[in-house]
This record gives sequence, structure tokens and C-alpha cells, in this order.
Amino acid sequence: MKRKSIDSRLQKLNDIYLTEQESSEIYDDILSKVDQIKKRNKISFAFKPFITSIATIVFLMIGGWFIYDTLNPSINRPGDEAPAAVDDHMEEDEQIEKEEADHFSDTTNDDPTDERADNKFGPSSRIIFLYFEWNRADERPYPVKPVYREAEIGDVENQIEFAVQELIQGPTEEERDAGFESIFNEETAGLLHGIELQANGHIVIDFVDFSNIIPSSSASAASLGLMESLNMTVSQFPEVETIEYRFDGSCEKFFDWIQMDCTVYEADDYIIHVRGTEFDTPAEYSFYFEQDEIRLVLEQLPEDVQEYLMTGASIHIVDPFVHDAEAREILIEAMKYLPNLNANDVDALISNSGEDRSYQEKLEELLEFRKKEKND
Amino acid sequence: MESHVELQLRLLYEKYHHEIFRYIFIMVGDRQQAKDLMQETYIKAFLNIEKFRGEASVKTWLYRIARNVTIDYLRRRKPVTYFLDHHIRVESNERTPEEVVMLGNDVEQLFLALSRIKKSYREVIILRKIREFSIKETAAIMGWKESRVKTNLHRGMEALRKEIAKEGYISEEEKY
Repeated sequence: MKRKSIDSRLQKLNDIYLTEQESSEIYDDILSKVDQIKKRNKISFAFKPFITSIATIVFLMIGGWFIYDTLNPSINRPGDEAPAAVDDHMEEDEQIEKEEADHFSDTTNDDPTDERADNKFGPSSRIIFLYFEWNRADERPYPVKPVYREAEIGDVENQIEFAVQELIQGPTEEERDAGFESIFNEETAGLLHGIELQANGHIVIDFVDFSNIIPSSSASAASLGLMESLNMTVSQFPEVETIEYRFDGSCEKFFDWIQMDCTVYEADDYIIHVRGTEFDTPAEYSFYFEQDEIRLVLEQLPEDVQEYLMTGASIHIVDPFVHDAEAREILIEAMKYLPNLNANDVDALISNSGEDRSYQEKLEELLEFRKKEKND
Repeated sequence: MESHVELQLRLLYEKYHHEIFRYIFIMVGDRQQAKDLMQETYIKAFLNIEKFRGEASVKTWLYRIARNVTIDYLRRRKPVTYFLDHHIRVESNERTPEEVVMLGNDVEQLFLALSRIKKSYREVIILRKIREFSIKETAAIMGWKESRVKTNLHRGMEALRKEIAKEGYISEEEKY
């Protein structure tokens, strides 16, 4: 089916309509439901002071009882009447049960992400990517590019929290020098209430309202880059399916800040640009560097680039380097023009995250950038 | 007599409800569900009309609400559809909605192919190729960068073509 043919057939799907009866029935339903909701809201608004008063009284009663109970520990209650000997047995039983439970959990814990499952043969940390805007690209708004941090292997929720915490600190000085930028900085660092990863893959990221630190006008202007940066970072975790952001528990408040409507993002939309990688950590690729095909290319590169590829580069660099002959060839070709090829150049040339461009296009862009840099 | 707000709401409904229904229908592939989700969309819109800031067109705003409502629904029913999508290939017309069948065999094939591709591709194709929104409007509805819309549309059309080819479907135009 040709493109034109597909387009015209897609257009035919516009011929789906509701009947007049359906339209008017739905409209009536909408009006009646809106009325009901408004009435309910009015009633709850009217009763709000009473509910608040009752809640306060209940709270004071519980508080009073608790204080009374704390100050009068000697008063016997039915539960205190059990003989001491029985108590001792109960404590023993509890201790045995606890030991058994500990033993059980030690021997049955198969979760490879659990810290206790670590062994000396496995990696104790994993690489986590933070996506910041990269101001050296020609594209506007700037595309996001990954930088990495090392996180301890553990619970995925902790790892996501670590990634978000790192992201809201903004790029490091070095990263800023390399062209990475973000609306986040040291003032927003730590302003995270917490995250909640639900069983269905929905994640709620609740920030402390930092609209007084970054005004709404700046945030809304930068909102696309900001959301791209947050979504790409959170979406790297396969456990995440949908993402919701909040300020002090309110989705509306967060999106008001960037002048958008409350939105749930889908992680799937944000992992599209990152091609699959064979492993999760760069260290797992080490055996490839012993293969002649890879080693011979590696040895032709400057020493610091060799070291970078073997020890410092992210999987998005290492993976194409070991798997893609064209990626290796472009590095060799780049050295003809850039004898002092460095790690940043390698990132710019062979990273497999970001928009789809050929290696040759990337090389041309890099040479152009270097030329401009020299002229400046 | 209708108040100003009521009149505004009625006009909003009259003007856009067919296309909002159609958008949701192509996303979920079920008429009754699409009607329910359209209703939910309008309830949300009517309750929040005063919050509408006017920085986007009211149409784009309405589509954004419809999109959120639809995504939320798809997320909630995911465990079931995940199984269906991954383990049961749609080989017959049994799952094709009647209204699509009535549009002809070629549209039906296209609809089935569209329902098999990745959701984000499907969404961009619906907005760009069926609803004919501009790249800027599509980006505003989806909360994406324009470059992401372009990439997804390109990849989506490729995926759609592959899906169609997989089924061995050749259009009448191409035969002659």
C-alpha cells in the first residue's frame, strides 16, 4: 500500500460517527453527572467546618487517652493480668519464630536486586543515567543527553529515588562545562518528598513545591526540556510504566507551575530513542575488549579514549562500540581530522541514545562544532 | 434559559464530540468504551472549564483531557490487554468493530494494522494523519517536543506499513 493510499484510507476513519440519539443521551448524562458532582462538592463544602470540628474532637480525645495511658503505667488492665511465666514462654516462642523467619528469609531470598543477594562475583553498583539538556546541539529546543552516576544495587524504588535526587541537583560543574544544562540546581537539591512505585508500574514522584525557587514563567518556558529530562531519567527503569508528578501531593499544583494540565506520562514513549543494550552495566562488556576485532581498533585510539571506553563510558557508548563495526570505523575516521580525539567526541559520535542520525552526520556536526569553537 | 457558561459548554460538545469520540474509539477499538471515555472527558472539561487558561486552543485542551482519560483507561485494563496483545494474534475479523467493517475491507485492514502497532505510534498517526493536527498541535496535545512527534510519526508509518505487509494485504490501487 503506497503512502498516499495509506493516508487516504486513514482519512476514511473519520467517517465514524455517533448517532444523534447517542449524542444527545451522552450529553444529558454528562449534564446530570456534572450537576451531581457539583451538588456533592457543595454539600461537602457546607459540612467541611463540622467535619473539621469532629475530627479535632476525636484527635484530642485520642491524644488525651494516650497521655493518660503514658502517665499511668501501673494501672492494671485485662491484658496485664497474664502470669509472668506465660509471658516468658511467649517471649521465647516469639524469639524462636523470629529466628526461624530470619533463617527462612536468608535461604529463600532469590531477589537478585536485593542487597543481601550480592556476592563478590556480581556487580555491587549499577550505572544510572540522568538526562540533561545539551546546549551544544544545533537543534532547538536542545535535545537531552545522558550523563551517568553510580548507584548501589538494591531496591528499584531506592534507585529511582536516587536518580531523581541526583537529577534535581542539576549537572555537575564538569558537566555544565561540557554543555549540559538544567533548570535544576543546588537550590532544588533534596526537594523531594518521595516516590511511590505501584504494583501496576505507575510511579508517583512527589516534590516539595519549589515554584518559589524556580518561578512559573521560567519553568513553563523550559517545560518541554524539563519534562523530557525527568521522563527520560525515570523511564530507564523497566519497572516503570506510567509517570505522575506532584507538588506537595497535588498533580494540579505541579502542572500549574509549568502551565500545563495535569498529565500522566508513559515510560514507553521515552525509551524509544534508546536502542536495546546487551547488558545493564559497562563492566559486563569487559570480555569484548579481549577479542581481536575490538582490541585492534581500541589500540589505534588515544590512550585516554581507550581508558574511557574500557572503564568510564556508559553502556550507550560501550554497546555500539563492541557491537557495531561502523561505530568503530567512525572513530578511526574521526582521528584523521581530530588526532586529539577525546571522550566527549566519542560520546558525540557513537552514543546510541538521542535522535537517529548516521555516524557520518554526527561526525560532520562534530567537525563543524570544532571548527566554530576554533574560530571563536 | 441557558446561562453563558451552559451555552459555552453545549457549543463545546456540539462542535467537538464526534471527533473526540472518534479519537478515543480508534485508540480503544470499542464503541461503548469510547462513549464512556468521551463522557468522562467532557465531565472533566465541564468541571474544569474555568481553569482553562487559553494558552492553547480549546480543541487542543479537550484532546489533552481525552488523551489523559484514554491512557488512564488503557493503563487500568493493561494486565488483560497485555496478555491479549502478546499471546493472541488477531487473525480474523471477530474483533473488528462493526462500524469499521462497514467502511470497507481496505480500511478494516488498516484499522487492524493500526491497532497492532505501538500505542505512541498509533496516537501520533491518529492525530497527524487522521485528525490532521499540525506538528505543533500534536506536540501540545501529547506534551512532547516537536522533534519527538516527527520521529514517532516517521517510525509509526514505517511500523504501519510493515504490519500491512505482514498481512499480505495489497490495495486495489497497487494491483493495477
